[in-house]
Amino acid sequence: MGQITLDGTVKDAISGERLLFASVFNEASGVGTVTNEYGYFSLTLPLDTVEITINYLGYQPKVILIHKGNVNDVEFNLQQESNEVGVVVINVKRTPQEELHKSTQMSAIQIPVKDIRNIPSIGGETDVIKVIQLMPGVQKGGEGGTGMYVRGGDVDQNLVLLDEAPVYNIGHLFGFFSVFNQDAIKDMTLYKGAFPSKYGGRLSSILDIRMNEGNVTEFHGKGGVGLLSSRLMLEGPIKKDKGSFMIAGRRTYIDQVFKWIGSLMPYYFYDINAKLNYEINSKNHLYISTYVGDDLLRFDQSELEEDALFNFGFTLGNVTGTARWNRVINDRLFVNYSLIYTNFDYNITGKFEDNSLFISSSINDYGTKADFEFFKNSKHKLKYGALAVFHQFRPNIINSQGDVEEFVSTDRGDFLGTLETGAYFQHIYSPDSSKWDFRTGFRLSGANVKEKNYGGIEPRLSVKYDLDSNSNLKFSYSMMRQYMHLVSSSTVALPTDLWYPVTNSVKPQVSHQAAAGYSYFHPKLKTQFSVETYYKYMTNLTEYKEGANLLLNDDFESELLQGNGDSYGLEFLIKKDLGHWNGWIGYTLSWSKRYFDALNGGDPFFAKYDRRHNLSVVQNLKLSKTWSFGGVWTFSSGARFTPQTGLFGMPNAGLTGVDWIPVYSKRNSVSMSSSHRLDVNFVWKSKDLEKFRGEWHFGAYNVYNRATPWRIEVEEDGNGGFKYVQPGLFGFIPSVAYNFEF
Amino acid sequence: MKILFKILCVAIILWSCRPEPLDVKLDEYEPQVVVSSQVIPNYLMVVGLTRSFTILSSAGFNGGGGNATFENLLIDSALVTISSLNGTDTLFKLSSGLFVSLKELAMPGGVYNLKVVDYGTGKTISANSTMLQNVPLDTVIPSLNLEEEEDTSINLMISFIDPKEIENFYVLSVYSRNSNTTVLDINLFFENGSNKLEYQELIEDRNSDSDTIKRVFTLKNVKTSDSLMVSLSNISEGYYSFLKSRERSGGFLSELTNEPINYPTNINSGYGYFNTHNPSFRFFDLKFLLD
Repeated sequence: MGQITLDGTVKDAISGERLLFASVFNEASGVGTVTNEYGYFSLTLPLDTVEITINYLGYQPKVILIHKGNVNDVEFNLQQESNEVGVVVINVKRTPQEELHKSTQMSAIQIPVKDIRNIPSIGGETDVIKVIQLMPGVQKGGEGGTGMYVRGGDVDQNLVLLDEAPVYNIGHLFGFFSVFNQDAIKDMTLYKGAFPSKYGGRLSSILDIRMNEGNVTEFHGKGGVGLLSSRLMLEGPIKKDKGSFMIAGRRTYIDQVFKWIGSLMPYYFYDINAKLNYEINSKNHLYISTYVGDDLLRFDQSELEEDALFNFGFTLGNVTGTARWNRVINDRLFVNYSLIYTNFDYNITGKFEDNSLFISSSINDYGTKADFEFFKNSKHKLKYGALAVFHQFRPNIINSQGDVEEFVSTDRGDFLGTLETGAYFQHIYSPDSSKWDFRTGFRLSGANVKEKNYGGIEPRLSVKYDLDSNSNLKFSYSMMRQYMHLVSSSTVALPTDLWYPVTNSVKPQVSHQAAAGYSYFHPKLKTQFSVETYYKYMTNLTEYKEGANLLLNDDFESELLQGNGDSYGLEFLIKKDLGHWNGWIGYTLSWSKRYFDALNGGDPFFAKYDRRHNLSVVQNLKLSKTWSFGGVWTFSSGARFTPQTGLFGMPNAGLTGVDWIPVYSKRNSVSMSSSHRLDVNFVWKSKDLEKFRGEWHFGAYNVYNRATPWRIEVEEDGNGGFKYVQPGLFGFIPSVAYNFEF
Repeated sequence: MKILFKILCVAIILWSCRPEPLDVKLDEYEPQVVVSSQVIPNYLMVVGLTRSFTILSSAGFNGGGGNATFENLLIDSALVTISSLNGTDTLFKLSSGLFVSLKELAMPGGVYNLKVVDYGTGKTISANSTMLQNVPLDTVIPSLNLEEEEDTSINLMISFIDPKEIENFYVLSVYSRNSNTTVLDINLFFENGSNKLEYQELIEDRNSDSDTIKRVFTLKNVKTSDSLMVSLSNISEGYYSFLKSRERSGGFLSELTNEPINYPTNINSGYGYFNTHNPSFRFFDLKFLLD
């Protein structure tokens, strides 16, 4: 019997954008594949004549007949189904969620960004991270923050990649807004477990975000004007059908509004995403992408009063840069080479009369990687590759002059370098006519710090068993290592978080995670129901000694403790991707504990964001031709807190008076009240002009104004006594925004 | 002013959207017995007893209070005993909250068990402490810096021999007292509370390779009429941790940025620390340095 090998790319017919994870399959046999992160696929089938279906959510499927022989470098261009807001017509053969359901991959969520534009958020700013936080297994930190606590892990255990470059700080304005401009983003995939071998370096999650490439056929733009910020994205060909550019910018303008009314609010943030892509030929493709973003606060008293001698400034931001070369070596072998740069830094400047202070910290990554994909045949697919990243840390560089030097002395700061390396291998085995699929692999990782070497092998395993054509059982095991951690005080959320490498005495964190699940996909409703359970055990977790002072402290190691932790839970998801009504309901029941001999009197304690129950109901509804509705209702058990409960007095060291010493509860022993919140968003599509489309978003955050507790305080009760209260941060916040496309 | 007013208006508008705080009930706070102790010459034990109190009170809400608040917390009526191999000594009440032994404690190496029955609440607490070897001060050499007529500073060089057989922890303190008469007695030095702590350092000998631990430092703002007392105590690791916790948690910035800290204690069902360290002292009068 003959063989058919088909390889090529799947693209958007109008923009030329490559479509990631598009399905390419033979319906009769059910055998197929999905395009990779670059829209490339290769499929070998042992048949003489095959009908191949190519589809992608939101696009008309394409069916082609392939005769005997190889078909190489083919380009499938799919037409979009509908431009209507919030509607995806059920005419697609397989959705991305269905592809995930049918693969060995579990514990993953794949979200095309255009599906989330209706989901309401604070101030009307659609935020990709806030959407991720609505998924089962992902806990948010404080209200409105961008912190993610995935399956009981800590906030520094998530690797966020933007076109393969790590992003160390994903929040603006103390984490209330993420750094990701929705107009610049094409796709994102979150892995909570069952990590593919190519990923490593963090214990709890990998969030892989891909930028848009730009329209290779014609010039377009989109943007939005909101209460807090505005954004604009422009894209177009640099050479028609060969290369394109995309540039997107976003800026808050509160400072400009205040300036216009003669007042002063010297804070703003901005983001710029830019990308160039060029197809050298059918086998070679180049991409260059970058991100620059900053939070800036600059107060100069001389702007208000002449001859004033006080000014203060603060900047915090990321820069990323990636250059990638895709190469199709032959019809079954694909490779991507990448050069990667990342910078995260903050700077604080202050000047008062003759005193000046400058504080700076930074981390720079210089990396290179190569990723190979070998599509041997329909049963065997191999992935392998290697990477090397040099991390350069410069924490707490201080320059002080004047009297202030007595309190904060000049310090050149340490220069710390870590070389992190990795190599991986993965084999996907999908025997024909078998109910079993296997994905096995490993990752070798290592880090060199001064005279110390760390490293080891990280096994990865995923297994799928088909119960029938619509349902399956899955099991996975992953081991992960992490060679850096975040130095951050839990009592005060300062934006001065410092990343710090492992050292001779601070060992890498390690996790072992096992997960098992059941998944059912209704073929007609395109709705998935899944339930997963997991257990994760973590060692060498870092915490800080009681009383640790992390502010401008170069001697972190003396304040660090290492211990263990574990987490386990159950996750439920019902997700409907298509139709006039779509969305999802996610529920998580989970526990997360820590074990440190030197903390809490040696007794185990709950992690800070150990929230027992987490429920998210996310719904999009098409109301009419011009109106649609997006709503989110969330319920969450309270986060943990260590409140002060009492005081006692003891003679002071000089025996001249009394020190009042606070008494706290056991660490994280008090669970704050549960919180629930309703956010809504109504979208009105204004009349389309020839080349211009617009829509108005009218939203409200926290519709019934209920507090989401973030701490426990004491206040007077109005009857001469005192009581504990839990304040919330944000109440009812209406919003209006206008989004447009041309 | 106009700018501040506008900022205030915006803040008020935003603040008014804040939701009502949620009430929360925590377990009712039970006051606990708080212990402090000091061995004074000659090997007499002084034990101070107070009670802790809830934060849901005026004093708690205000982060403590003055002397009046503290006096209200003193335990006035309690049975306080210290037991050892040599028997049990019942301490007598010197004043409210202050109990003193009638017998001298035994020599170093003895294990002492404190037991307190607070008649006011019915609570009982206990604690153990081992009296460590007294480590005497070897040299204490002050030298005077007369910078201005009224502004005096002195350099102090202090050394002591560190027993190397075991790991040791120390607290080194320098107190001053302004008095026209020479005060060279520990009991008189702290009379009327008119003394001041000029210097204190917690020392652990694992940071020292030498048999002799030496410190040199400068005391500023002392007066030529001052008397100084240098005190060195060989303390347990537990008490060292307790004092370290106090050192780390002092000050406004510490309260704002540090991790919450529950002080270590060796008191069962109580707070504070029962220690039996036996300090060594040196006294000198700055007036004599001028001669």
